[in-house]
Amino acid sequence: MGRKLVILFLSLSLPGLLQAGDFVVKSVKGSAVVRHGVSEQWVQLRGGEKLTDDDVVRTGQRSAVTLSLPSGSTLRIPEYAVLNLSDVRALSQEELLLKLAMENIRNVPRNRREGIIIPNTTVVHGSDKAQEAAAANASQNADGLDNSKLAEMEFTGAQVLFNHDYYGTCILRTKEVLRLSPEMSQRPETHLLIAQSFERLELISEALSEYALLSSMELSPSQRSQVESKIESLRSSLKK
Amino acid sequence: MRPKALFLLVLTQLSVIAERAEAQVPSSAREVALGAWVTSVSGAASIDLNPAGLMGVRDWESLGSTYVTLSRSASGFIFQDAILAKRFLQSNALAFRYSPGAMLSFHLPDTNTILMPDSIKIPLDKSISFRDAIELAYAKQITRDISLGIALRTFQEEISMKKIFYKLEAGNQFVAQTADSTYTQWTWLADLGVKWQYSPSILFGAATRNLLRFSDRTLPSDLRSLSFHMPRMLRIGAAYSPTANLLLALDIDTEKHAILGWEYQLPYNIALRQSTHIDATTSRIVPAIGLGIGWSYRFVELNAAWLHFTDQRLRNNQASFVDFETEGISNLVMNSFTDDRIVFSLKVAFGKAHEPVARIEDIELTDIYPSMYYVYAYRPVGRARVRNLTSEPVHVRLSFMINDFMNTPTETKPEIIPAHGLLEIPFTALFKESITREQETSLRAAEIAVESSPEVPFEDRAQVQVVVHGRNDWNGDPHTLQYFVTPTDPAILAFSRSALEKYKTLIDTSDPRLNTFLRSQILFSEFANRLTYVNDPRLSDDRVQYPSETLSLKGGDCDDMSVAFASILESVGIASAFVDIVPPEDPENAHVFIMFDTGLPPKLGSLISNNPKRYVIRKNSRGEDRIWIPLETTEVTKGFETAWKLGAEQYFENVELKSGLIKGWVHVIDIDLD
Repeated sequence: MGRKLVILFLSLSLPGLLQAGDFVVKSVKGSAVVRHGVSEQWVQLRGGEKLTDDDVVRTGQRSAVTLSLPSGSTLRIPEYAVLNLSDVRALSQEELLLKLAMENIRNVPRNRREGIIIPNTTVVHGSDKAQEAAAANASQNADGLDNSKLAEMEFTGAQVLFNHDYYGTCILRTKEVLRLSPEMSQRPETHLLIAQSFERLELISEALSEYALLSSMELSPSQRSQVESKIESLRSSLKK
Repeated sequence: MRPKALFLLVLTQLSVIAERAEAQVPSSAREVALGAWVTSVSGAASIDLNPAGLMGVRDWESLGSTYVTLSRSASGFIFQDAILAKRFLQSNALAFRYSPGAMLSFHLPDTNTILMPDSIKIPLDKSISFRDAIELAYAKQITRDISLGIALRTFQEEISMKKIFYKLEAGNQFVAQTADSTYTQWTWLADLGVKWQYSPSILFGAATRNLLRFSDRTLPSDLRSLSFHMPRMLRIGAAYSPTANLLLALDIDTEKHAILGWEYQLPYNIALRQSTHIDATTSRIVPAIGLGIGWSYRFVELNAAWLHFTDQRLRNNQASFVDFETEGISNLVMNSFTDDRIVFSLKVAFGKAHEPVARIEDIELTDIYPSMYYVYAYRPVGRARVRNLTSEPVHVRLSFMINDFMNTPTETKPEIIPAHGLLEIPFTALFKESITREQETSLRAAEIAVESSPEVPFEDRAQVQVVVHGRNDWNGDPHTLQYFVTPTDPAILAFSRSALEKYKTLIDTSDPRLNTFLRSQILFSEFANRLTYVNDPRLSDDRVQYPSETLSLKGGDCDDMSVAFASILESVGIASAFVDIVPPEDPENAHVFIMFDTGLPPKLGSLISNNPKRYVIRKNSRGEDRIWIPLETTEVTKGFETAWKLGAEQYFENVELKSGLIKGWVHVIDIDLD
């Protein structure tokens, strides 16, 4: 009876013991690692462990991690995925558009004499990718993972964000992957993910732009049909 | 034997007293029409109205006026006065007035008449005249906006009358005889005036009347009741120009008079004027009105005015002796006896005077920080608002000069100001390098001049105070912190070269792709070895040490550290940037650290770190993505790794998690000293 009371007490008080922003590892299947903050090391991830938003989780083959989020909901990370916990948050539309604008103006040359000071900063947190498939230079990181594989894993992480309604950070993360791994840009599913995320956020013009980009790519007949249908329906909704 | 009176006084009826009454009015027809002249009078006409207005004379100025009364007994045009004024030594002016026609005379028929034995009647009338013939005035420009003036004039009162005396003649008889007697009294008077240009469109002024009086008091006591009343009076006024073409003016005096006047500039240099006089002491509230028109061309101004009195009962020689005694005379302009009149005046300006075409109305100056002295060569140090005073567009340029810190005035490019327009012109300054040796903040005099024509040194100029800060003072703007970065300072060059020389072998044998990264680590380590203290980062104030000072003092705060290490990196060609964080919830704890360009492309990031959160990817000037490393320079004594870790954590938290960059409380400022 006493033990039951203790368990009951702990289960009731555990949420209170968690700080805001804490994630809890509900379960780990297979192998999963976590890297804390700016640390260089990946360490084994265990069930019950508390994580914060500056941690990154990586799952291996036939592995999965289930996290309990600060909101009380759960999030499942499938195999071969890399997920930045800082992406597990909702972005306001304003914040998303500002971040996207910063991406667009980062190419403006600095011209201090005209009083224009535009931060020449791009925030990139993600895996590096070699520009060419078989490039010799540093195509693997110290963990032995191929950079292109890392990009795939990061994209999988972006899909996790989409599946859990974190559309804003999904867009940003996917764009980061594409920027650092341009070869991923040849895959329609990357742009489709971005377009669908914009749609979910009701950013119709942005979604249309992405679908238009998709329509210029090589698509399967079913994909093309889907894309064209989307373009038409979005244009109709814009006219309204 | 008793003398016998051989005369008989016969009483006669009262009769009109004023045979001819010419009154003095302001010398210029403009002031007659405008009425409220205390603030608006300018130039030679100011001499007898508000001498402070003499500062409106450019070089030489002459004014002549004439008038004609509109009475039944008018005798044609009367030359009133001539005025000559001269400006000298730039801020002084002198004027002289001679007014032969400025007089007021009355003829007083006596109630008594002598009836002589031979039946000849001899009236015992009196004649009274007042003359205000000569005046001398001086004015001085005290400040740019204030002028003072003093005027000295003479006033003559003359009373002529017939007197009866008895002469003992043969036969022991007294015979009544008459003789003419004339009594003259001189009074010398002094008055003061002041004008104050409160703002470009508002003017205030004041002038006294009869402030100081010195009289020889030669009038017999029985005639003093006929004397001119000279009460001390103060007149104050204000003028306002809501537009470039319109002037509104108001004067009030201690005799409870008020005058409202306006002047409107039409095209072709024509002006219209009108005034309304108000008297609170009489039943007729508006005793007089004025109307006028003027035309000017270059240095000539012609004006005409009509002055009308609304109460005509005692004018046109209709007043009696009783009226004269009752009403009295205390004001040569406004009294019950003077007639309506039309006045004409001609003003001519001559000499070397140049009518300014532009005027500086307002100046804004920033504080001067020696650390950024060369920046002021292309970034405005201030702005001036310049008004075009003419009806044509003018080309102007501004010049700016601080004697102690500049060799020559710095001039702007020519600007065009439309007719009567106002233009804000920014100006820059080319300072001498010696300004960087100023240790303390001081107040200096700066001169700004507006020039238009090569023949004239300036149209207008102003002297203003400017704050010149000490060499270590910083305005708190993170964008200007870079001006303390001195990569070419000999002490910095010596330091960095010496540090790298020690590890030359290591550098030469290491992976060339990591050359920049390795050199940064070496320089950081050597920098740490040199320092002995680091101030509390939260105590950073608005003073920044130059890098050589930080090296010699062996310590500093976060600004000093960031500036010093950035200088060391820049001295060996490693690009760097400041990261300025001002937490919105705690702005007092603003903090600066640096980051530098490793030269590595993102794909080689794993050469230095497996965790992308430890570095920032930015584009270089060629548009190529490169890896930058943040360094918390206040942790310099704890080594490169710790400084890097802390810098990366701060950057990730404030930029990535809290979106400080897009929200505007995080700034990344590239050091660009070109």
